[in-house]
Amino acid sequence: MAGPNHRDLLDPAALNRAESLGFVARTIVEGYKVGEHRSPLKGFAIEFAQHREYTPGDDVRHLDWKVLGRTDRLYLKQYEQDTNFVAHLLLDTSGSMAYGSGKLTKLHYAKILAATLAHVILGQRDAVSLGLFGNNTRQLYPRTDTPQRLPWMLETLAAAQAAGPTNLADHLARFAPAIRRRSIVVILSDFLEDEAAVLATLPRLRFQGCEVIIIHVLDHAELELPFKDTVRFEGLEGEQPLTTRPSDFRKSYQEAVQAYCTAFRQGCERMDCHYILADTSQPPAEVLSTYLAFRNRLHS
Amino acid sequence: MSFLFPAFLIGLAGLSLPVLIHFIRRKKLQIIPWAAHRFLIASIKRNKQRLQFEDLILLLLRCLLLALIVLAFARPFFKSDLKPGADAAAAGGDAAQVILLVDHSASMGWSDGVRTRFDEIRDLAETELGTLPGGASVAVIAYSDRVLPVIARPTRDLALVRRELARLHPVTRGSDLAPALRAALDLFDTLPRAPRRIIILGDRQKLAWQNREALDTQAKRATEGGVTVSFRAPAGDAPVNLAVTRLDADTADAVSGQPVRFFVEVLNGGTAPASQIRLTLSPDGDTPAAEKIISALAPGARAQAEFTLTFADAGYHAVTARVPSDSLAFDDTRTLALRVTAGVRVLLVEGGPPAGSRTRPGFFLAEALAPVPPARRPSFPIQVERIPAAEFSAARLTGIRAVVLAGVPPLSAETATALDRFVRNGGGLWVFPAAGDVVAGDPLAALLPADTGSATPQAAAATTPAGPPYAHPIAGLWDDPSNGTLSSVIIRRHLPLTLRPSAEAAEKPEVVVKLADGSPLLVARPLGRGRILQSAIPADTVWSNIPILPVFVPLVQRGLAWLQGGASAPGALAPDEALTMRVDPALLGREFRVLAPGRTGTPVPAGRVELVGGQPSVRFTATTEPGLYRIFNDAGDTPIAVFAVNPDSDESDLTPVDPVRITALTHEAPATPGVKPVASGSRLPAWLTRDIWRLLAGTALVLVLAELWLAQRFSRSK
Repeated sequence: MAGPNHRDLLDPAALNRAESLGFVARTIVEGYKVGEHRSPLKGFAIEFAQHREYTPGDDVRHLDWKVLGRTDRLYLKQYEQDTNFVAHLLLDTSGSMAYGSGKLTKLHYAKILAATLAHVILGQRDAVSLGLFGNNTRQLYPRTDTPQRLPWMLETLAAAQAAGPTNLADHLARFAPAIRRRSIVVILSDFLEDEAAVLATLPRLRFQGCEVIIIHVLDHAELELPFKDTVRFEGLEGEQPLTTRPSDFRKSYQEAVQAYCTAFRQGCERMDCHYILADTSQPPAEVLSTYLAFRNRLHS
Repeated sequence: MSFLFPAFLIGLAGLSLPVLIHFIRRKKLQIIPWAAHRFLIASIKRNKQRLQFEDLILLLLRCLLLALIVLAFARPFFKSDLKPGADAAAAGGDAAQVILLVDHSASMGWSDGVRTRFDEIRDLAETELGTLPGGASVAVIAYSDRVLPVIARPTRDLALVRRELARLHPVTRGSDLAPALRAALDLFDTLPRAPRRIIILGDRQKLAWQNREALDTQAKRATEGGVTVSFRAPAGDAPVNLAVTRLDADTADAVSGQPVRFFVEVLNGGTAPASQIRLTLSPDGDTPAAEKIISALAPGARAQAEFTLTFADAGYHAVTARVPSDSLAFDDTRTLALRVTAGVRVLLVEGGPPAGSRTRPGFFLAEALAPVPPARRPSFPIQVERIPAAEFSAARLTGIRAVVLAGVPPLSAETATALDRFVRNGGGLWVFPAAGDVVAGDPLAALLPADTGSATPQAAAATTPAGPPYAHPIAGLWDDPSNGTLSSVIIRRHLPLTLRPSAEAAEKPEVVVKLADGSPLLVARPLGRGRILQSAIPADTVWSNIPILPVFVPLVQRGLAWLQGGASAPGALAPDEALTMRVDPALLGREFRVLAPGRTGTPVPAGRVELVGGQPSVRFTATTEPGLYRIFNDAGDTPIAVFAVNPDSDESDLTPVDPVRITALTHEAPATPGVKPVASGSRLPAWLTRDIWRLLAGTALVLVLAELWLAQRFSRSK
C-alpha cells in the first residue's frame, strides 16, 4: 500500500484514509524518538519488579535515588518488562465531534491522537483495544498486541463517522464491567454533555485499577467564540437553532467554557485521572509530546 | 409650532429604518453548525436582559436621531411671545424671510455733491442686513416704474445680497411702489410659511406712493398675510430740482429754411423756490441757439417757454433744452429729434370747372398750401402741382409727398389702387368732397377713414366747429386762444361722416375737428406708413367760410405736416418704450444698425427689418438709456430714423409724500429723517419667531456621538 506524501499529511481529507492516519501517527512517534533518543514506550510499563545493585556500565538514570539517599548504596530499579498491559482507546463519535472551525474536525483530531497512541503502544508490544461510542451504538474491538493488526485498527478508526447525540456516560458505565484487569483507559471526547455523569463513571474504572486518561478535544472556536456579526448556530445534535450576536456575550461565553473545563479537570484530578485539554488549533504531535514528557517525568 | 418645510416630515417614515436594517441583516446571517450549544444558551440566558436593554437603548437612540434630523430639515418654529422691542437675534428668529424693496428710480440719483441718495440707501440696506437674525433669508427687488427682481428667491448668502446691492444703480425711470409691493407679496405666496418682513428702501417721493388704491390693497394683503412692512429712507429733502419736463415741436417734419416752434416746460421739483433760471435750446449739440430767463419758480410750479429755430440743412436734427445743472442731473436736459426736409411736392387734383376759375375746388387749397406771392412760389418749400382729375394717374405720383383731392369725381379702380399703394408707402392723402351729392361706388371709399352720407340740405341751419380742447395735434394749435380760434368758422352744409371701424388699432380713424353737434368735420387715419385726412366739406366758400378765414392757412399747413409725419420716426420716446417705425419695403429682411446715446463710430447691428402688422418695420426695444438714437440701414451712412429717449418727467417732482401714507402702509410711527424708526407696538414682534432647527441639529449631533460611544461600548465582548 503506497503511503501518501507530506502534502497529504496536511490535507484533512487524506486523514480519512487509514494509510494517512497510520503515516501521521508514525511520523509523530518517530519525531518524538528523534528528539528524545529513546522510546517513550517505557513510560507505559507500570509494573515494578525489583532492585539490583549497580555495576559499572549501567545507565545511571535508572539509579534509585531514594535508596541512595537513605542507605548511601547504589541500586537500580528494574521493571516487569515481559508483562504486557492493555490500553483501551475509547473514542466519542457523537454528532458534536463533527464540528471543526479549521481543516480538522474534532473527530479527525481525536482519530489522529488515537491512531498515534495505538501505533506507539503496539510498537512496544503492548495490547490495544478500541471502542467507538456514538449515538446508542457501542463498537468494541477486541484487544490485540500484534503490530500487524495496526492497519486494521486504523481502517476502523478512519471509517468512524460522527452522528447523533452524545451518551458517553452511559457507554462508559456499560463498558467498565468488561475490563478484567488493570489497564489504561484513554477517553477521547469533547465531553459536551453532563460532565457530572461522566465523572461519576470514573470511580468505577479507578476502583478496577485502571489508569484513566481524559483527552478533552475542543475546537479553538468553541473555546474562544471568535465570530463577528450575527450568527445562526445550528445544533449538531438536534438542538434548536440560536440566532445571536456573539460579540454581545463572548467574554461571558469564554468564562463559561473555562469554568466548565476547570471544573471538569478538577473532577478528573480528584479521581486521580490525567486530564489533557486538546485544542484542535494545536498540532496533535505537540499535545501528545507534552503529555508523554509529563508522564516520563512522573514515572522517572 | 409650525414648519417651514413640512414636506420633510415625510422623512419620519425613516424611523422604520433601524428595524428594517435589523431584519435585512438577519437575512444575511452566517450559519454555523455548532456543538457547544450549552455554553451559548447559558451565556445568552445570563445576558439576555442586558442585551435587550442595550438593544432597546440603541433602537430608541437611532429612532430619536432620525426624528431629530427630519425635524431639523422641516424647520419647526414657534411664534415668539417676546415683548415689542426685544432683540430679534436673541429671539432666535433666524428663519425670517426678508424682502428688500430698493427704489432705484431716477430720483435716487440726487446727490449732495459727494454721495447720492442711492449710496445712502445702500448704507441703510447694510444696516438692516447687519441687524437681521442669523439664518434669515433675503430677497432683493429693485423698483422704479418697473419691477426688477435682483435676487428672486430669498437667500441666506448675505454676501451675495451685498454684492447685488453694490451692482445696483439708479435708472432714468419713474417710480411706483405698488407693483413692487405686489411682487414682494406674490413672492411670499410662493414660499413656505415663515416670519416675513418687507423693508422698503427708498426716498419719500410722492410719485412712488401716488397709486393709493393699489397700495391700500397691498397693505391689506400684507396685514392678512402676517407680513411686516417697514420703510427706511435717507435723511434730508431735496431743496431744489429744476427739470425740463417737456420739449415739443409744432411739427415732426420741418422744412429747411422754415421756422419751427419749440415748446419747453420747466419744473421746480424741489422744496425751495428758484429764480433766474437760464433755459437754453441747442440744435445738434451745439452751443445754445436761443435762451430765456425764468425769473422765479415756486416749489412744484411749472413754467413754459417757446422758442423758434430755423434749420438750414435737410435731414435729422436733434434739439436739446437745458436748465443749469443741479443735484439731480437726469432731468436737466431734454432732447427731441426732428426731421427736416428740403421741400415738399404736393399734387393737387381738382374736379369741376375749368382751370383758372376761382370756383375750382382747389383754388383756396392751392393758395393755402403755398401762401406766398406767385413770384416766390418757385423757391417756396411746398411745391404745388395742380392738375385736373382727368389727368390724374399712377404715373403722376412719382416724387410726390402728398396728394390733395379736391372735388374729384370717382376714380378708376386702377388709380385708386395706385393711391392705396402710395399711401401705404408713406404718402399723404387729403380728400375734400365735391360740392354735391356723393356718388356711390367710388373705389377710393375703401381707403377713407369715414363713410360719407348725403349732404345736409341748403336750408339747414349753419353750425360751427366745436371748441377746445382738441385731442388731435393738427387742431392742438387752437388750444391756445392766442393762436386764434375756430369759432368764427361757419359751416353751412356738410357731408355727414361716419367713422369706419378698423381691424388694426394702429389704423383706427379719429376725429380731428368736430362740429358743435358732434358730427365730424375733419377725420384722420394712418394707413401703412402713410396718413389720410378726410374733410366733411369742400374747400370752397359755398359750404363754409373757412377758406377765407385766417385759420385756413395754418389748418392746411398743419394738416400737410401731419400727413408727412407718417413715415417719420417719433421725435421722443420714454425709456424702454419700443420704437416701431415703418420703412421702405425694399429693406424687408435686411439688417439695421443703431448708434446709441453717447456712442460714436460704427453703429452696432440691432436687428432686421420685419413685418409688424403686415408692414415692413424697424422694431427696436433697447431704449433704456436716455439720449439720442440713430438708426441706419445695413448699407448707408445716412440715418433712416433718429429719435430721442427722455426720462419720465413726473420723476422730477421730488415733493415728499404725506407721512400718514407711510404710516398707513407700515404701521410704523413717522420717522425723523435719518433716524431708524423704533418698533411701534403689537405688529413688530409678528416676525420675531423662534426657529429651533439649530437646537435640533445640535441635539442630533450629540445623539450621534452618544450612539457611536454606546454602540462601541455595547459591542465590546462581555
